[in-house]
Amino acid sequence: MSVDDLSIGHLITGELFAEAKRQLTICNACRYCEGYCPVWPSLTTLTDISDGDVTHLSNLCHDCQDCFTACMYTAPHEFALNPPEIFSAVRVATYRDYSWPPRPRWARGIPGIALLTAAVIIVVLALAVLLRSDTVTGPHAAASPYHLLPYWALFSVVSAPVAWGAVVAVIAACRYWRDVHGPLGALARPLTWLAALRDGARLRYMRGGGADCTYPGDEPSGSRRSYHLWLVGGLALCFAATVAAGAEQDFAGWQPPYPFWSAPPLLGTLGGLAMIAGCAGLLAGKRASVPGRSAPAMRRADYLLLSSLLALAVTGLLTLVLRSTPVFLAILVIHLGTVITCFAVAPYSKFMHVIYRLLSIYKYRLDA
Amino acid sequence: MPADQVPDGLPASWDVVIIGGGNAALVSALSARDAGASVLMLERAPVAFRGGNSRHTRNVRCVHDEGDDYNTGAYGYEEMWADLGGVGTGTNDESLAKFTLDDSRSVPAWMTAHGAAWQKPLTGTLHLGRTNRFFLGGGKALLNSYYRTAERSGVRVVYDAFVERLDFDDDRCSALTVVSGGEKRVIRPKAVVCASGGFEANIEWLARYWGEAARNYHIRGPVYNDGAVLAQLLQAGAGTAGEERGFHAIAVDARSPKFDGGIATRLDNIPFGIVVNQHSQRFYDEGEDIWPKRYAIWGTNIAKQPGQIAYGLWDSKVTGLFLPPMYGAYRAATITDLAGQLGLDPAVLADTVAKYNAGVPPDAVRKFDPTRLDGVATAGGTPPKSNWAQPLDRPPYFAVPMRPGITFTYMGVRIDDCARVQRADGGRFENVFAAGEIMSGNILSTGYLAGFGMTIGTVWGRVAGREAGRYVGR
Repeated sequence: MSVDDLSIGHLITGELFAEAKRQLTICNACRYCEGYCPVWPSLTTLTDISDGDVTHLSNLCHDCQDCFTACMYTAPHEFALNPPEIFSAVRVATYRDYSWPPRPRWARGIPGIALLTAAVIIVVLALAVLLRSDTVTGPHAAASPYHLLPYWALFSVVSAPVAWGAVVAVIAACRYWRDVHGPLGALARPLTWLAALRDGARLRYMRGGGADCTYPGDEPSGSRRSYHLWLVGGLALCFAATVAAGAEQDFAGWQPPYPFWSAPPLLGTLGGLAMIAGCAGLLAGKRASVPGRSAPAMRRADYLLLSSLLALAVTGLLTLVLRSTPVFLAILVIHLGTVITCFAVAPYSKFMHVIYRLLSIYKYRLDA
Repeated sequence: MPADQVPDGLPASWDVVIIGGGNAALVSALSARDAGASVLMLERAPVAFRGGNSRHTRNVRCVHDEGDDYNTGAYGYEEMWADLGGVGTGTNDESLAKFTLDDSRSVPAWMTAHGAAWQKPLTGTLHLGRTNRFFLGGGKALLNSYYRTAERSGVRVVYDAFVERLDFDDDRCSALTVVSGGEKRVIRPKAVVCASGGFEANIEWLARYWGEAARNYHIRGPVYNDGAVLAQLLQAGAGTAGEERGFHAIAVDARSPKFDGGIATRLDNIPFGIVVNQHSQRFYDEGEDIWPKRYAIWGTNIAKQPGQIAYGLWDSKVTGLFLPPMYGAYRAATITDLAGQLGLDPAVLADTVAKYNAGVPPDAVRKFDPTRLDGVATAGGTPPKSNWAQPLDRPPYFAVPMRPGITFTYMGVRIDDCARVQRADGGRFENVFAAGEIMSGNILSTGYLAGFGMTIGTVWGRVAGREAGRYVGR
């Protein structure tokens, strides 16, 4: 996801933090927004705002945009405050700067993603021809993913990017924490984690202190939070479907295809539909949203993440719906390509907002 | 938002026309609409700056006999009456003031019913959390809610609408000449509510009372508060209420914008250090009383100094104890270096600081307590510093330049208990009502209680809107 161009208006990357500090210094002299979310009470504890503070506050922001509509200092006022926009630009910088190793140049942007997906599909097809020449092209090919690849091979091609993504994400999380807070030891507070996870899962701070978001328009609306919860719930159901399938195979000894009314297809279907509903709602909101309250780079990152998740859900559902037709294996290959690419790219994408935001909620709870 | 920039197809005849776009105007409009009138609001400012001084407000002060989620405790009528009597020269028209307090009891519920959202008392609002009720997100957020409610209920709002002239037919206002979008048109109202604020942004008008000094004042609210409607009413023979030289002013950063700097440019350093004028001399007790009470005296203090400028100084002992200035502070290792940065005479400033330090008691640092009147006072020296008199001796030293920041003016039109504008000759204007800052001089002549402007605007907006609606419905 292209996170290289952080420009908002006249600002270039190097000026981003200076501009954020200019705005936050004015915010800190006003403090009218403190009822909306934890960003503002956290700001009041600072007398000198560091780069780490800017990063922390930006990632703590849930982008409800209430502070923008409440602000008497937005342009054309000469103070020209726009916290949601500057925070979004800083978040894009966070997604870019904290992941290590950095993403290779060729894998960046939409062309990079297309290239990666194509490469993954070619590898999967090559493996299929090598390992399953008997079933992959046969006329009876249907319904079981093991007609495409043997279990160990399928497991490996999916696990490798998952492991890779997890390692990069953990490194990124540690680097982030060192910058915004300090010692990693401060992360060992189970009760604080419990509270932070609750806040995060319920999107507690996307409610504008009870006023709801002024998003996508200037009318208060809870729609974004609802769609986001649908999306996360859908993802969780899809994850549950995978776990259920693993359990049925490894413990019960049942092999796919599973009957439609059993746990894995059912959970997967519900999850996929919820994801599609969530993604569609969020994409529609993004299209309708007032421009200028989010950095262009963040809008691109949003669109890319949402379209990727939509592609995951749609290809996943198609794999299920079309499993007794001749195109099953073809759609399975496409779904696998999407899954593997998404996992590999996730730690460099807006997906990482989950990690950074949770860490910042945890920090807010820790400092409170 | 559905806002007309050019009022094309705007009918000329209306039951009630509200002049203004702030809190009192919106409350009047909503109340007149609730009374069944057709309502047109003429807001002088463009959408981006709508709302007058109310944009910069944050809370409202109402009588309440018990605490709730948004007020930490009871604030009874008697206590509020005492507070009101304790500021400035007290109330002007006692019966109107008493009505204001009485009627304030029902204000929060009315506001909630018309779209207001509230904020629980937090760190930044705690010291006023018992007496004042805070708007979630502040005044502009409240106005946004009111505008949405008004537009939903059929109030027509025209922005960029300057009321150039009010025409009178005996004691009736018969027509308004409105300039909007470069076009002039005549509006014929059955009743008019003037909720267009004071004249604080009209430097020429201020200069009538304050001379050239007025040119150095900063105006904390929008540039549109030039009192054009007030001037029209006075010219038509309206009686006045409130001190003509009266204004509410605080110390703001001299680097802040001339207009509309609002809350962010205020300075809270004064009780923590000393204040000198451009001759490097102290001129007023910086530790006279707890800060919220003395907050509003410093605008006038500085206005009386040569060049209408002063410099607040403090040292490293107290940084972090008060809100950091939004433009930062000048900073130097010695007082003489600081004087150089400020353009003051280094020797004189060093002498002033030395004299002040010499008057500070030896145990000042140990006894210093910013949370109360600590009684740590200078001995001898003029002027004294009666509390928090720590020495300025720990570098680096800090300073900010300060100017008077005018919040609002007091002089307005005289009204009766129906918010009807009274004539200087003893008569009255039959169909002209007033609410908000333009009539606040009826209640307060000088002095101010935080959040009370919004109380006046809401109480009298309800009266003016209701009475205007009743008048046209006769």
